Amino acid sequence: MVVPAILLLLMLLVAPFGYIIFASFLEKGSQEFSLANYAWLGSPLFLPSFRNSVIVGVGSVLIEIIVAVPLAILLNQKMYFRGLWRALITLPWAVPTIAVAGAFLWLCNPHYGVLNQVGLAIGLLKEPLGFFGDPDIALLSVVFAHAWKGLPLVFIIVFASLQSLPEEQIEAAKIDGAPGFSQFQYVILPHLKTSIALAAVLSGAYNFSLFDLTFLLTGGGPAGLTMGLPMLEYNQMFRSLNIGRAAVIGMTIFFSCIVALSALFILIARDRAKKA
Amino acid sequence: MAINSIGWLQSPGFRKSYFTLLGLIAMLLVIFPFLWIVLSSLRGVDDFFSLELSNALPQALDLTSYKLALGRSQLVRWTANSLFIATGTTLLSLSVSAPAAFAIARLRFKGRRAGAVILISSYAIPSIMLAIPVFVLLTTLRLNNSYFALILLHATFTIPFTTWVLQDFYHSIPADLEEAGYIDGASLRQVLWRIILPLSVPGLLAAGAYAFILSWTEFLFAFLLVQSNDAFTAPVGVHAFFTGRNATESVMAQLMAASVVVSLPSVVIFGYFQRYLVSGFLTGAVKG
Repeated sequence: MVVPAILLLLMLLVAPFGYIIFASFLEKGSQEFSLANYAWLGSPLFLPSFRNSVIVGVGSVLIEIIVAVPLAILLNQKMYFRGLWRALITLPWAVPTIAVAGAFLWLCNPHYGVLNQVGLAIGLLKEPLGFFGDPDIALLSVVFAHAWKGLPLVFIIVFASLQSLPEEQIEAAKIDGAPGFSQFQYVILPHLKTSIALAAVLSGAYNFSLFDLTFLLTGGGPAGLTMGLPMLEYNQMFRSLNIGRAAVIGMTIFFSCIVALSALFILIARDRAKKA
Repeated sequence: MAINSIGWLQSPGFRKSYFTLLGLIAMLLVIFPFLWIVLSSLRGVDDFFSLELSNALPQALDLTSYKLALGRSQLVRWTANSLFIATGTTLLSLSVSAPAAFAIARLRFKGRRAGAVILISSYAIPSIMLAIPVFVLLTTLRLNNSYFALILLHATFTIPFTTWVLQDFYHSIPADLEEAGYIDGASLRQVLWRIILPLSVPGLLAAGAYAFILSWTEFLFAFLLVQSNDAFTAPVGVHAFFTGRNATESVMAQLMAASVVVSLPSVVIFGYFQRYLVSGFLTGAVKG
C-alpha cells in the first residue's frame, strides 16, 4: 500500500535529483565531464548570494523566535477568545506569497505606505524610507517579510511545546518565590529549548531556500543586493540558460539544508541521551 | 482599605480581561499586514495615493477596486483554474497517502521504516532545486501547460505531509475496532472500506485542507510551467497582470483587491479547519 506513494515520489524526486547531479558536471556549451561549475562556487558572483541567503535564513529566524516566544507565553495565559486570537495569529500561514508581497510592497511604499506616513507623523523618520528600493535596507526589509511569513509555524511549534509544560512546575517556581524572569529563565526556557531549535532549523532552512518571496518583492534588486541563492539559480537557469551552474546552486541549497537538519538531529539526540 | 483597592487588580477576572486585551493587541500587530490589504482594498480607487494619514482607512465601503480588478483581468478564470488544480492535488495526495499512512501505522512489513523515512524526508527537498530538472523534463515531454503535470508536482510536496498527518491519525484509532472486524471474518479490504475509511473522515479532512492550501498558495512550479494566459493559476495570474504596469493609484488599489481575492479561499479553509490543522502541524513538527 506504500508502493504508489513511494513510486510517485521516486519518479518525481529521485530521478530529478539524479539529473541535477549529472547536469552539474556539464559546462555550458560543452559535452564533456568537467568540474568547472563546482570551481565557479568560489566566484564573486556566487559568494555574495550565498551570504545573502544565510542572512535571510538566520535573520528571519532570529526575528521569528524573538517574537514567537513572548507571544506564545502570552497566549498561554488564561484569557477570553484565546482560541480565536491563536487562530488569527497563525492565519498568515495560509496567505499566498503573492499577497504577502502585495501587502509588504504597499505597507512599505516609499511615498504612500502607511509605515512611512506613521513614521513621519510621530517623528520617528525624518524622511521617507525606500525599504525594498533602498540599497542600505533592502535586504533587511526582505528579511522582515520572510520573518512575517514564517512566524506562524515557529509560533505554533513553541506554543505546543509550552502547553506540554506541566503547570505544577511554574506553580512550584512561584511558590518558591521565583520572580517572573527567573521562571522564564529556569523553568520555561529550558523546557522550550528543543522546540526552539527545531523551529529555528525548519523555518531557517525554509526561508534560506525560498524563491518566490524575494522574487516577487525585489527580483534580487536593487543592484543584486537582495539576490539569494534561489534567485541566482533562477537567473542562471532561465536568463543565462546555464543549466550546469543552476544545478550546482541547487545542490548547494540542498546540502546546506541537509547540514542544518543533521546538526539539529544530532543536537536533539544528544539532549535526549543526556536526559536518559 | 488599601489592600482592598489593590485586591481587584489581582483578581482572576481582572487578570483574564487584561490578558485578553494584550492578546488582542498582539494578534492585531501580527496580522496587521494582511489586515491592511483588506482595509486598503475596501477604500475604493480615488485618493488611493494620499499623503493624509486620515485617508488611509476606508471612509465608506467602496468596492471599485474589486470591480476593476475582476473586470480587467482574468482573475475569475485564474481562480477557477486554481480551484481545479488544488482540488485535484488534494484528491490525488489523499488517495495515495491514506493507504500509505495506514500501512505505515498498522501493518508490519519489510522496509516499513525505510519507506516511512523516504516519504517524510522528501519533504525537505527544496522546490527550487527540483525546478530545473522538472522544467527540462516536462518541456521535453511537452507537458508544460498541462494541469495534470502541475497536479503531480504539487503532490510531491503535499504527499509527504498528508502521509505524516494521517499515519499519526491512524495511530490514534484503537486497533480493537479492526480486530473485531477480522474476528467477524472480514478481509483486509473489507476492514479498510467498512471500518477504517468511515473513521478516517476527520483525519482526511484535515490532511486534505492542508494539501489544498499548499497547492493553492504554490507559486514557483505554476509560474515555471504554465505559460498561457488562460491557464494561469490565481497567484501567477495576479503576478503576470501587475508586472510591468505603472503603479498608478488605480493599479495599486486593484493589486490590493486581487491580493485579497487570491487569499480568500486558502484563508477561509484555514479558518475552518485550523483546529485540526494546528494539531496536525504539532504532531508533524514536534514529534518529528
